[in-house]
Amino acid sequence: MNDSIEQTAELLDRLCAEAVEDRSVLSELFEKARPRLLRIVALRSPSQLQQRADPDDIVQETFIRATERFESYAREGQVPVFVWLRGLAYDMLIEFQRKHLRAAKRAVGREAAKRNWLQETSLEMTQFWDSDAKSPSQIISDRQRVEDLKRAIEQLPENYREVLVLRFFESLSVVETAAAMECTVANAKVLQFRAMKKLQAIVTSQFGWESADKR
Amino acid sequence: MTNGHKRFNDEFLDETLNHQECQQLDNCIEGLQNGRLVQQMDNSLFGLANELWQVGDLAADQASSDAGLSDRGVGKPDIEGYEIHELIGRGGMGLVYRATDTQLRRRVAIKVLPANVVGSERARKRFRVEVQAAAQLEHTGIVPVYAFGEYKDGLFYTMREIVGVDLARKLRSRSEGSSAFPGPEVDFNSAEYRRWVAGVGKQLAEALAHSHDHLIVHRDIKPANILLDSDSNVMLSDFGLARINEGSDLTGADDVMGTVLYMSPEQTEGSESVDARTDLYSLGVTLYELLTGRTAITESGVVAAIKQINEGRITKLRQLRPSVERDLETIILKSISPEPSARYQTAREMADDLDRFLSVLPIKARRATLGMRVARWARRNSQWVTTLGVVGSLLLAVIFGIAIYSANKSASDAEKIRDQSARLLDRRGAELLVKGKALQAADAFRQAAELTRDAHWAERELQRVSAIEAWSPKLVEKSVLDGRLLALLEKDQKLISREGAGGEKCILLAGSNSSSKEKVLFETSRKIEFARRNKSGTIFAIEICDRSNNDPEIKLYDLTREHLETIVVGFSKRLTNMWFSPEDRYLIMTGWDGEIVVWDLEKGERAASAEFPLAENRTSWVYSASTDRDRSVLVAATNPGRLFAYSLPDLEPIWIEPKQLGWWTVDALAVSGNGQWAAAGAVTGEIRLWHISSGIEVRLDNTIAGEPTVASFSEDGRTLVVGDDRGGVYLWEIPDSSAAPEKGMAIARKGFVMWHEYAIVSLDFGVEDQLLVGAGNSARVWRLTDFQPTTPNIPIEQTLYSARWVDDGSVRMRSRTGDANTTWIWHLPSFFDVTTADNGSVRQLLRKSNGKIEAVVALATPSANFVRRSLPQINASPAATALNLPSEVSQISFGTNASESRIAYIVSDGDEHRLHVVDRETLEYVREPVLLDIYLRDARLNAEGTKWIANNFNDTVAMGDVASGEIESTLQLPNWVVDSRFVGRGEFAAISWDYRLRIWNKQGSEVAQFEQHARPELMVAFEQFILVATSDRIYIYERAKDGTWEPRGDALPTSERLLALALSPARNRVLSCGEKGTNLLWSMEGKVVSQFNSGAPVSDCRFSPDGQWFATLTEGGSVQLRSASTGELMSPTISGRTPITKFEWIDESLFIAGEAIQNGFWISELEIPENWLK
Repeated sequence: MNDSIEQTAELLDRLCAEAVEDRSVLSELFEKARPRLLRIVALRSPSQLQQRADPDDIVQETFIRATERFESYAREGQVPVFVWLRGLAYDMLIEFQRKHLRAAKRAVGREAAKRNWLQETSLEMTQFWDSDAKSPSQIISDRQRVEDLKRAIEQLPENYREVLVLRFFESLSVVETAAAMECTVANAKVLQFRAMKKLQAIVTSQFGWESADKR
Repeated sequence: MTNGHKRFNDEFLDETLNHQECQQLDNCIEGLQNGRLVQQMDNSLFGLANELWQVGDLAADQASSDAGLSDRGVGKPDIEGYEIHELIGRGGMGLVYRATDTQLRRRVAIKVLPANVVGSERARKRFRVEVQAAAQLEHTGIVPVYAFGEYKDGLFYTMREIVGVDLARKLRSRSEGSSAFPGPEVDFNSAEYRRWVAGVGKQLAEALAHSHDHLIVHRDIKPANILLDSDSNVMLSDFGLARINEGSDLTGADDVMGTVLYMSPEQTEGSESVDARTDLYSLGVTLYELLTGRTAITESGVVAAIKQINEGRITKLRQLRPSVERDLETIILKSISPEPSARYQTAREMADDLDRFLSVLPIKARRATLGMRVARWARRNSQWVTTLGVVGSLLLAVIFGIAIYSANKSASDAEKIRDQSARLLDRRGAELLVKGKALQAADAFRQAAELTRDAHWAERELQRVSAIEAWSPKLVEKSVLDGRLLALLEKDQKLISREGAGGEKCILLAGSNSSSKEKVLFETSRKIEFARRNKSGTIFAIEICDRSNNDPEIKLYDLTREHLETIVVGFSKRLTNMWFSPEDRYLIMTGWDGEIVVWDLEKGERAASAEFPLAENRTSWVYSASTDRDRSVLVAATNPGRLFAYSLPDLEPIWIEPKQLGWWTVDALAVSGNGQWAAAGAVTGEIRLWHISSGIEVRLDNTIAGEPTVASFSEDGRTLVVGDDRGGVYLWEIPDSSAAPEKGMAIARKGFVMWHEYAIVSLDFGVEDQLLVGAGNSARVWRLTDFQPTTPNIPIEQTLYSARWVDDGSVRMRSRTGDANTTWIWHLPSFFDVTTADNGSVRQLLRKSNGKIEAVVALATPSANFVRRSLPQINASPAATALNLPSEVSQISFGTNASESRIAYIVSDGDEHRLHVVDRETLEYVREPVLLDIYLRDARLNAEGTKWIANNFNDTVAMGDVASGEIESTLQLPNWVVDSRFVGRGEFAAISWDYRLRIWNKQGSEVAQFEQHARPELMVAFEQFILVATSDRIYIYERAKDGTWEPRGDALPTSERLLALALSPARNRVLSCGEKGTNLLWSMEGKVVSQFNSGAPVSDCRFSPDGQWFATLTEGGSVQLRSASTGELMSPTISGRTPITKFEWIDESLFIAGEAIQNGFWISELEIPENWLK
């Protein structure tokens, strides 16, 4: 990502304002938003869905719907445009999920070869921070750490978990996070601070991490 | 301010916070998001943020690459000086492409390592050093490295392009039954193959000796890194690269295992102590795998595998493959000793020993001595060793431990192998089943049953086998004809020719295979080519030519008079085809010499003839010809590709100009039975269609993938199917048009299926759109309406020549090899699918009350509508009734009343939520959709269909009246509502996460509340009973005589969390199905009547309408029927073409449904055979 998240968000909002006057700008807006949306959709898709529906398709469908609804968003939209798109993508994801997964649950679910960290419990988180000469045993201990983190996140209260997922996984800016969570920016900052504090408390008390910076 | 804002602000209002810290953390996160990573963190919260960020990033990368995004994003690398062709391989490290070096104009293989693999500067440096070193190596057993460099997205290096396969692929060739690879066929019992492996080992050891001389350790020897070229030379690739990439090679579960399996113990510890002997270890385990077909390390998890490597727990080769020579085993076991010092010390030593083995000389390696074994034992049991003290444990071991230990070990290993093989076979079987290879699947299941030690499992596998066999095509007859088949006549009658003493005999065969009568019609010194029978069955026309297919005679044999005569026609080359006209008046013949003759059989003379003009420099012959049912038109294709049409019997040209089809021969020629259409394949890979009488061509859109090999019109001439050489079958619907079609008309392809890896050789229309397709050595029936297979693959042992329907619905398949013809007759199972092909999935199967066969409603939801389908007219009227829902539906759920006369569902389109209640028969609204002012889901109806109930994510249960559309009660519960439903007498109940079941009367007043000790998960309700299941108990509540609710005894403990629960009040039975596959049938008093294990967990269960049976659906997608009184298994395991996702009892039948292989879904009716339910 060359542009900073903040710059991208500004750019998106500017494009959105232009698009109100000139619909042809929408496609540019979509192109700018696509990589981040793809990341989010890929992240949030259960792996079974990934075998059947391409995140690209989901994002494309999202844009189609966004085009249809752009007018009403432009009229009364209160959230940044990316947050709005993200919400549509979520809905779309749920629809795809319903369409593909309900009936196919047993068909593909059992042999899901690949796993998605956010959706399923799995130790197989891989490819660690620094590829410099790590022994497999060391990698296993790294994995344990990831596993710990994951379990710790699961124990957080809903809004704590959400703020961390939005910021660290979906990579939303703090402004976008605030809009997505329907709170003020200041509160989003407070929330993430508390969430991190709580996370730290869990990993040290429950998983015996000595301290998080000792690596 | 929205509610959300308010909530958060309230929460924070009264707290004092260090806002500076909050801001710092936010800055830190923002920095991470924008790639400004601070390496040294002194604040632990920032360190944690850093770690979390990396996890998030990885998860996103992983998800994107799982979803195939990263590949698309990258595309082919753009590297200056190279033209990149196709991708030929992909490993943990990078991608390998075929490429051309544009300066030297030579073909190379190019491996690219994207920046994320070799990200750090240090890694890049090491890459350079290692590749440089590898480039020094010059050995026939090492793939030469040509060049390396950096490009925009990472690093690359080029090497010689090896045309061949890697050894991993070669090994797999065994299970695929393919032998097209260099080297002997993979056969672990063949001495030749083992010697080949030893030779491979020797070559590799020599190559390693060379590289070790240059102080280069390969570090990643595994079958996938060893290439086998077309001359059977083996070569090592990827020299030294493992080191660059240590750790990051572990990119996914498969890759981790793929790499770990070949690691030496010292490699698993860390990389410092790795030397040349590591390569010998990896070579050893590679050879082990080549000799046994399985990896030396058998543990499936990474941690367990590393443990196994370090303990050296490896099954001896000869326990797996007793035929492996003892010396060869010794060499390999020596090379895979856990202690480097016990291995060969140099690659040359190992090469020499392998050479000695190959020369049948005594080898130098000795088997592990007692002392070594004790040491190894100690290594495995290091904890004991430390506790007991080394001396003590050694003594213990020497005195009695070793003997006991090794005996146990080999027994348990052998058992483990058996179990593992059984598991693999089980999986293989399931895969084969989905692919339609039912008989092979049955074999796999049968083998798994033999191997496994688990009696339940074995039983299950055998049940599968019997179910498959019950529903598979059955071979009724196989007959091998010694002689060439000339014509098939009446049932059990064949005309054949067979080599005799002085020539060939033409023989009429009658009777079945075992007791056939032969009657020699005549003998000739020439070759009998082919024969046709007239309609009345009295006369054969038989062609006889010389050995080079010249100078044909046409003989007529009159069966009634036993009379043979020769007719004079004057062809110089053999015939391409001949037909009798329907009234047996004429014999129409087309010849390779370009002549067509119509012979008048009554008059015994030529009625008409035509001859094709010779094309320049080319013999023009009738390559193929076809006529309609009435023999009124003849279409002949010549070489070069031109098409002529004639009327019969006068042979008047219908077209002024022949149709041009390209320069060569014409395959796939067909004339529709009604004589309206001619279809012909052109070598350009097109299929073309002409309206015969007008000569107008109709363009067929969406042409085909390969070259057409066979074409066929349906009986009514309205459907054209074409097969191609890539195994595809394509379908067009042709208009019924005796009048000329419009010029420029085009017909779009209606459907297609890519079925086989071989060319389609045979297409035959059967009844009800059932098309029999033959290719390779199998045939399969496809339903044309949706191109779904209706049978498994029907296999024969030889290459198929033709597959035809026989009158009784059986299938006759023929092959010919040399002068022998083999015929297989298969009886197809009566199990017949009725399927629709909408996109969407079966949501519910509903029982119909009137007892007619028209009994299933499938609700398909391609997001915006649902369609009711009724049996059995599905095919006749595909869109029986359809109801269009608003275009934007984000949530839809269904509920029905007890007699299923009404269906309720809630449609939400973003902001508005409406309740629809429709009549199940007509799909008409019972009343106008009700606009709900809150969002609700899971609508259900009461037994009469007059009231509805629903709940939502905000802990609300709402109940309302269908007729008035009013919401009558809105109840706010303290926690998440799991389920809500009517329980009879106007009462309704809900379970929620506050550990409670609540029951309300029709006014919405609470009449009962019961607490459970844990979260309720499932609820089943009948008039008299409510069952609530938590993760480990079932609570039963009963309605007392005075109408109040009471718990019925104590909660029943369950050993597993329940996935499904069913109640049959009539039979006093409860069925509970646990997540680990343990299922219990209880009486309501809590007495266990029967316990059975279903292998896979049961996800749905249902008692039959009469309460006598129940059916269970396992997560694997199969159904079983059992007796409700005893729990005894009453049926084989019922499988669908794909895993079953829904089932429903309807009268006597069980309907099953699942998702179709391509699109849509299938539904099948299963009439339960009486012998199942004894």
